[in-house]
This record gives sequence, structure tokens and C-alpha cells, in this order.
Amino acid sequence: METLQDMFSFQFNQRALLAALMIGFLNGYAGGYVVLRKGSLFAGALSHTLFPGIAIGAIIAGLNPYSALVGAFVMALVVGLGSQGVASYSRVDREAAMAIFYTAATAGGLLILERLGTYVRVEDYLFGNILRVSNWDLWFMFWAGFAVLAVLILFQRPLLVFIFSPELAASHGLSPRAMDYLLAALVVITMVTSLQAVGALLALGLLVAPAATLYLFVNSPRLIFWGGGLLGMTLAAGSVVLTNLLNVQTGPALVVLLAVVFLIGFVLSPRYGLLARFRAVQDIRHR
Amino acid sequence: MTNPREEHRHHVLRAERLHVHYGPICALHDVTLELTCGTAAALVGGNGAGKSTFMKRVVGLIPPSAGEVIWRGEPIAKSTHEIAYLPQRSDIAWTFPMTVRGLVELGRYPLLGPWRRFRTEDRDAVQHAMNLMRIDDLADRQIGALSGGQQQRAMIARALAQDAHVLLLDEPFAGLDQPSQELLAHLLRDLVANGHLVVASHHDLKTVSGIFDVVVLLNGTVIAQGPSAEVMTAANLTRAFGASE
Repeated sequence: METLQDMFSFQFNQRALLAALMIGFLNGYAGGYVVLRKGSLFAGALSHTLFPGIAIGAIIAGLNPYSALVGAFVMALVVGLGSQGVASYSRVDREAAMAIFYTAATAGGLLILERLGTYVRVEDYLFGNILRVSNWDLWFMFWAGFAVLAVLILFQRPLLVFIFSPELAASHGLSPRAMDYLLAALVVITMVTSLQAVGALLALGLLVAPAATLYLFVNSPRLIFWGGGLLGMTLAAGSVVLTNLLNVQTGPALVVLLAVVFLIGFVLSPRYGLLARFRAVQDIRHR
Repeated sequence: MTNPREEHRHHVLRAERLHVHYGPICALHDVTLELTCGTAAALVGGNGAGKSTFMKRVVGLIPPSAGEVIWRGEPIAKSTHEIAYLPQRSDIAWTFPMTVRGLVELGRYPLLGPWRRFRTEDRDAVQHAMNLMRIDDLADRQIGALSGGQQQRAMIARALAQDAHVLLLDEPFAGLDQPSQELLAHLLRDLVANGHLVVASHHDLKTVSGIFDVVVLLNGTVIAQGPSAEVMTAANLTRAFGASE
């Protein structure tokens, strides 16, 4: 108990905990849409555009949190919309176009940063450093998270119909294309909020793992959204405390922890786990 | 709501000179049809004959190239909850974490919009639709754990919960075993008797006449339409399929 009190007597630890709670919940909640839409690959490609975005932001306005966030957001939108455009006007699909654009963007980002000599400092943005979260970052996480959650909660019904079946959504008079863009933009904003904490390379894990874990247990989208949010929040906050005690980096430890929890769920889930499946096969054999 | 019987029995769905083009390919050419509520109509034709295209065009999933769809005397400008389209069973993600009740509840969303709360009448409509389709005992089951016939009935229950008068069904009998086909046919006949208009693409020529009152033979355009017995002649089938079946 005393150790905890000591730990949180430091302001940077308080900020880290607050950041973990906010981005943990936001990513866990929004990740439900990504998992149910089966859009993890697309989100993964988008996450790879964050890093070159930071690089281009750095060229224009120097390497700072503002330029990093704006650069990452703009780059993800450009690559996302660009590949959607290529898919609309040619026979090449969105994923293929995206693979070309985001690898090119990453390569370009590396070349630019090497040239600028800021290569090393970028590590914080690749893997995150939650102890360097500033008050400004916290406000950004709060407002961006608030906006994303507000849209996801207010438009949950149409979004749910869309991720279940875009065709059904269209027959309800909704525009699947508009919903697709809306979700992509919300996913990008969500990943940008976790740049400081887990970095561009690991943001995807925090986004997808909590909801994927819940998906192994429950049969309701709402339980996946809220449960994912709570799981993400708990594990993120827990890893701030744990890594402080063990003196290791928070971002990478959190992503490993998420994977471990997912694997435990994968084995133990009473309905959709490996053991349940094994038991069911045994039952049939013994009959 | 799910019993439109008298007031809706004479509602008419009319397609006027519909054309649909996918780029340079003409999928539907000059289709004119008139279907009245209280009828079961089969769309029969080979692959690429335009059966799905016709239904998707009616419900507004495909932008119109030319022509108009008239429902109850008015052109359909936007989608209406009164006309429901049910995609082929194979086009639905059945692993989606949703119960049967959850799926049927989706049908209330067009009526409630994004924010209005579920009221007693909404819950009643959902329950009534499940009762009609005889899936009420499966309400809490995950949709992926249903048989093919049960999945089809759950989709129809969703459309009924939407207060749809017109059901456009894409190959509803595909992949169902004999008992499931018979039950589905029986339930569809009940809906028709209650004043619904059921339009379904259908590929089994042997069962067409037993289930449907009216047949529309398609091959890019309407080859023949009318009462099943009159339309299903060898000459018409040859024209629709290119060879007699």
C-alpha cells in the first residue's frame, strides 16, 4: 500500500494512470467495432500510416506532440481514403492498394527522419512512453475519446446494422460507404490518442485485443463494447502499476499482457474456448 | 402490424420499365411487373438472369439506370420499412455475436431511429414475429447455432418486426433440407394469406407451382409472367434457360 502511495506521489505517475484509464477504455470499446467488422487487417494497415505521418508532421512543424498527432491523423486519412479511391476506380481491391501505400509511406517516413537526424527520438512514438504524457496530452485524450465514444454510442443502432450486414443497412436507407468512412475515421482518432502511451507500432494491439477476448465469451455486441472498454481500462491501469514496480516499459508490457489474457480466454472460455471444444469432442466419442 | 390483411390486401408494387446496367453490362432490361399484396411470386431464371438485381433495385440497393418502382401509387424515393429485402443466407455473417431475439430486434430500428427507446409495443412486435416464424423457443440462441431453415425464419421474423408488407427473399429455400423447406413454404403461405406480398427468387422448378401463385420468368428481361401453371410451359422455360429443363 505504501509503495502505491509513494508511486502516485509523483505527478508523472498520476498522469500515466489517468492516461491508461482513458485510452484503455476508449480503445477497448472502439475495438469492438473493429473486431465485429472483421476490420483488424484494415485497422492494422491504418496503424502503419501513423508513423510516417509523425515524420511528415515533424518536417513541417518540428517533432512535438501537436505535429505528431496532426501528421499521424492526416496521413492515415490520406492513405485510407486514397486506397478506397483506387479500389473504387480500378479492379485492385482496397487491401492491396493500402499495402502499397502504407509500406511506401513507412519507407518514406524512415528516409525523411534519417535525413532530419531525429530518428532516435521517434522511438517514443513507435513504442510509446506513458510516463512522458503531459497535461496537454491528457486533455487531448479526454476530448478525442469523448467525441469518439459519443458518436459510437449515439449511432450504435445504425452502426450495428452496418457491421452485421452492409446490405441490410443499405436496405434500411443507410449509406454503407458513409458508415465505412465514419468508422475508419473514428478508429484513426482512437489510435492517435494512444500514440503517446503505446506508440504507433503497438496501438493496434490495445485496440483489438480486449474486444477479441470478450468475443470469446459473450454473445452480445453491447457486452463486447462495454466489456472490452472495462477490460482495456483495467489492464492498462494494472500495467502502469505493475511496470512501475518491475521497472519495465509500460506500453510493450501492456500489449504483452493483453495477448496473455487473450490466450487464457482462448483456452478457457466455457463456450468458445479450446478446452470446451476438446471436451465436446470427447463427449461425442464417449457416447 | 404483421396482420395487414384487409387494409393492405390491395396494395400494389409496380416496376415500370426498369433498366439496370453494371458499367457496360446490362443486367436488367425493360422489366415491367405488377404484383399485388396477398400473392406469392417466384422469380425464376438461370444464373445472371437478373433475379437478385431486380430485388435489389426495388429496395434501392442498386442505383437506378432507368425506370421507376411504384409502391401504393407513389414512386419509391427513399427506402421504406414496408418493403424488406432478405439477402441470401450465405451473405450473412452468422458468427456475429447476436441472439435470435437480437436479430429480430434489428427490424425495429428503422421505425425507432437511432435513439428512441424500445417500448412495450416494440417488444410485442418482436415476440409476435418470432411466434409467427416459430422460433420463439430459440430466442436466446446465438444465430450461428441455428439450422439453415431456422436462420431463414429468423431473417423473415426480422422483416416482420419491421412491419414489412412486402418481403423480397433471395433464394430462401437454397440449402434447406426437405422438412425445413416444407415448413418454410407453409409459413410463407400463411403470410400471403394474411395479406403480405412475398417475392422470392427460386431455382427448383419442381416446387415452384406448389409454393407460388405467380411466376415471373426472367432472362435479363421478363420472358413470361402470370399464374404458375400458365407460365411454366416447356416453350417459356426454353426461352428463359436457353434449353428445356
